[in-house]
Amino acid sequence: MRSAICQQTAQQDNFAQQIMEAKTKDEAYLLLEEASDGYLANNRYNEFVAFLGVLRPQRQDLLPAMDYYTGLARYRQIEYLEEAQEWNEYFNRGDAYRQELLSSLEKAIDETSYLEEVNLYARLTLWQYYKGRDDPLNSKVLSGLCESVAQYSQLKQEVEPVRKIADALKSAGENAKAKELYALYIKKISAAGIKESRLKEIASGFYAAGNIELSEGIYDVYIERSLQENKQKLIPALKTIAAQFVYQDNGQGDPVYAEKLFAKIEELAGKQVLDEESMYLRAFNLEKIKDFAGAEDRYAFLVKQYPKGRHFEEAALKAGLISAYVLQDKLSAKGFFERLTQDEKIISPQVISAYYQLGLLAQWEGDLEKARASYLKLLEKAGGDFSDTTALANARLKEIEENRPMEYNLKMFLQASLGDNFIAQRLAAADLSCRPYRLRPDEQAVAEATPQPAQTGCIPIAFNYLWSGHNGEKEPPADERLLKFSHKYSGTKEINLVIVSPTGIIAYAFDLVDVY
Amino acid sequence: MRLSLNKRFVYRISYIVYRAAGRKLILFAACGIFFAACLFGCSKKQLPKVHIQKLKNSRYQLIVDGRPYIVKGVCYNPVPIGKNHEYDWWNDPAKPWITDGKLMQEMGINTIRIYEPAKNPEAVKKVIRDLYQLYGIRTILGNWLGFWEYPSPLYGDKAFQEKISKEVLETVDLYKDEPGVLLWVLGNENNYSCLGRVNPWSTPEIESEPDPQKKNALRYKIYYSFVNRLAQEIHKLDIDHPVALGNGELTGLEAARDYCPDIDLVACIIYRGKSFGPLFRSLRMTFDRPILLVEIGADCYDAYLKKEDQNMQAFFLESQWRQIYENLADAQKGEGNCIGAVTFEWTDEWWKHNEYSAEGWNVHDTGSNWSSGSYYFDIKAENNMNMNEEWFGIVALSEEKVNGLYKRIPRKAYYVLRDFWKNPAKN
Repeated sequence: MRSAICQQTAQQDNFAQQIMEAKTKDEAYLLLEEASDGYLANNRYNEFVAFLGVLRPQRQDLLPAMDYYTGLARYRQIEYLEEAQEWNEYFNRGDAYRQELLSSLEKAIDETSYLEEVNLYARLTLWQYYKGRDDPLNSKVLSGLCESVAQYSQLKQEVEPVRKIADALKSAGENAKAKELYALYIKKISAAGIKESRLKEIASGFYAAGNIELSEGIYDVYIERSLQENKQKLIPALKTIAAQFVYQDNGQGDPVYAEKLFAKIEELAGKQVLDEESMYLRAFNLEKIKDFAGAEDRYAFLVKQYPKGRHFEEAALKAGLISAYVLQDKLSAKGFFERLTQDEKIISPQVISAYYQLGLLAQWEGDLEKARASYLKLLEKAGGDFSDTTALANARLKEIEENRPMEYNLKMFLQASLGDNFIAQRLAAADLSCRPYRLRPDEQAVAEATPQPAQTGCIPIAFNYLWSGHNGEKEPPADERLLKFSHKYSGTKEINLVIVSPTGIIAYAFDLVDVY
Repeated sequence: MRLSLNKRFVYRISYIVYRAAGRKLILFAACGIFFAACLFGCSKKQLPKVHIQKLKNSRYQLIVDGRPYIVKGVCYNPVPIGKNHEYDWWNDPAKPWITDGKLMQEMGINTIRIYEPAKNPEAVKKVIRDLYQLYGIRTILGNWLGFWEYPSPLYGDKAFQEKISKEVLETVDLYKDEPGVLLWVLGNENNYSCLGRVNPWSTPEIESEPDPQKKNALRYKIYYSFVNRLAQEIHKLDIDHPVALGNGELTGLEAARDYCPDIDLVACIIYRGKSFGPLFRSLRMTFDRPILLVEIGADCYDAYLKKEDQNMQAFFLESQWRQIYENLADAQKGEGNCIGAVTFEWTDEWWKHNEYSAEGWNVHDTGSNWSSGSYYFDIKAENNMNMNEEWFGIVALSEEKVNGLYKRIPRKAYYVLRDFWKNPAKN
């Protein structure tokens, strides 16, 4: 412990000495930044402010920077005290720190111009402080910050402060303003005479670094420039970029941007230009952003264009499921399921599911003989395999044989999605998402339901969550908004949900996961 | 607003004179007021004792007996340990309000909120008078507007409306002349029933509408129109106290703008944790009325670590009050439409977690009743249930009795708010 303290003190003295002796301001700024990183990362806020206090009389030329760092230290300190629940210091010294924060940052801003980075960073910290408190001044300070960055970017060559501030705005949820600053950054680098291929590399680099917004902005410039050159040459590149952005379980990517690129490809060269793989990616991507009508359209296209393709079975099953339970088009749904069952020789998870769906639709319509036939065919085809689907078929058969109503949760789902009193808004009244969407056999997955937040204040409402569909081999939980499941067999599995409040059905939801 | 133009002008002059001249020039101010009153022929008319003043810069102030008044309130329902909400504390021989009023005065509280007065008017008047005469504490009186009626509040039913109107107007008539009364609050979170999820109600017209959004709009129209008619009736009966629309969050206020022109202020129930977000600006855009936050607060039980945490409560309350002050009429920044707030609540209520079990009323339950991510310190509690309804008091109840009352133990929030109110400017 003692040696660590000695080491810190020696380092502190060393920094102080170096800053005092620094020949240029830039050199001193770098050292200050390094010192600040060291102190603040270790929550040594008071020591850092004291350190700056020692330097002040020696380097009057660095006063605005020292004011900025004092403000930054106090800002981080208040955040830290709250997070770490260091309440004694928070309540005893909080007001003093807040006052020092404000006066230091305001001084740093007043003593510098927008051409100096210190000015921009002091404005940024001031805004972060106000934003964190929802202070009414926050929008005014934000406007001032963005104006200053715009002026800075007009007159200075250096672009990194613009990007850093845009990043900070984005991480604070100020997406529109961040976008404006990213636009300034992109304008600046694209005006620097960089070739298209280099632009693509830069965009790809930002994508890899997780800065999706900036990556997209630079790709847009690349696409715009390439369009002027050779449209046809651009299409393969667009396919590659779109594939990069499609939905991924790890959260990387931007499915909406991917769809924008797919639409661009279609606009430039028609639907046919997408090969089976790209068309499948597009359909899958649309499915994940819950544009079910768009997904069904592309899956249907795949079924028609690539009947021997590797995605045929998945596409046909998904097109059928979406047609039935989202688009209320039972006729089309049956058409897709029947396509899957046409070839008696083929046995796959999708074919087995198609028999189940044909049985289910018939049972719902009251044609019990037809339903029974489909379920029996399923059992015959499955042999001893596909136990998750055969269990469902057996349960339905039992209902038919014992003249019992359909299992309650499933019946409620069919009523909500196919019933005469279908209310489209119910589909939008809850969000259902799964983690992950693509899973391995026996991998644990979770489906999470979130009803639209109709406010009820502190009056709690008990919702009933009625799960049904392919939920794995366990019984679905009663009245829980989380469904944990795993599957032994590959294939597409439908997750059905109805949410009921004391006043009746308030939402229904439908989702698909794929086991590979 | 209820002020006539002449009244407003006279009042504005008197207020400007008061502010400009200060106490040394009271005589001059009085002359100014008198002159202005004569000039505009209003000398016979008196300003209401309590009213809303819209300032030149569109900010709002609550004026009480001619002076700006910031509501620094608490919700008051001193149910002792072992009793539930049916307990008639108004007739408690130990007079809890005497002990509580003193503590409140020392803290800086100037207002209590009563959700609905008891049936015995003499007992209610006694409490209001004692608090006002002994400690200068005023009382906000509310009415549930039948929100908890079984099977549901039938706002679309004429007979139901008449029954509630009669009840409300009787209350106003009974207490309007009490000097300690501050204002009336109609309803609490009743607007949520218009969304059909809590205490749902309907009418044949609503039932025949297939579109859920239009169903909600119809319910809002019926409910808010009813509240507006009540406000009109109250104004006829009592010119001295403003009428507030009790409302959960800002939900439905875009409809209230159309159907509640006679409401003087909105009284919102807001539980948003550290910050109210853009609440004050949103209200300005939605329904430009002054706002009194009639329920804010935080519990002091950490449902994750399973222990009392007074600091957590003090942190949220101080942060909330800081923002309230930033949005008062005379603040340097902010919307200037806030007239104060009422913290929920004065003492813990031990009956709340399991209200149907009399045994549970003797136990300070640590079970959680609802979830709110805005109170983030203990949101990792099981099933995210982090709000402990029995632990909202800024004063705890000890099981030890003193003079027939369970001993009051102020929590940290009590002292933090006391210090904040003493010197809000330094924050």
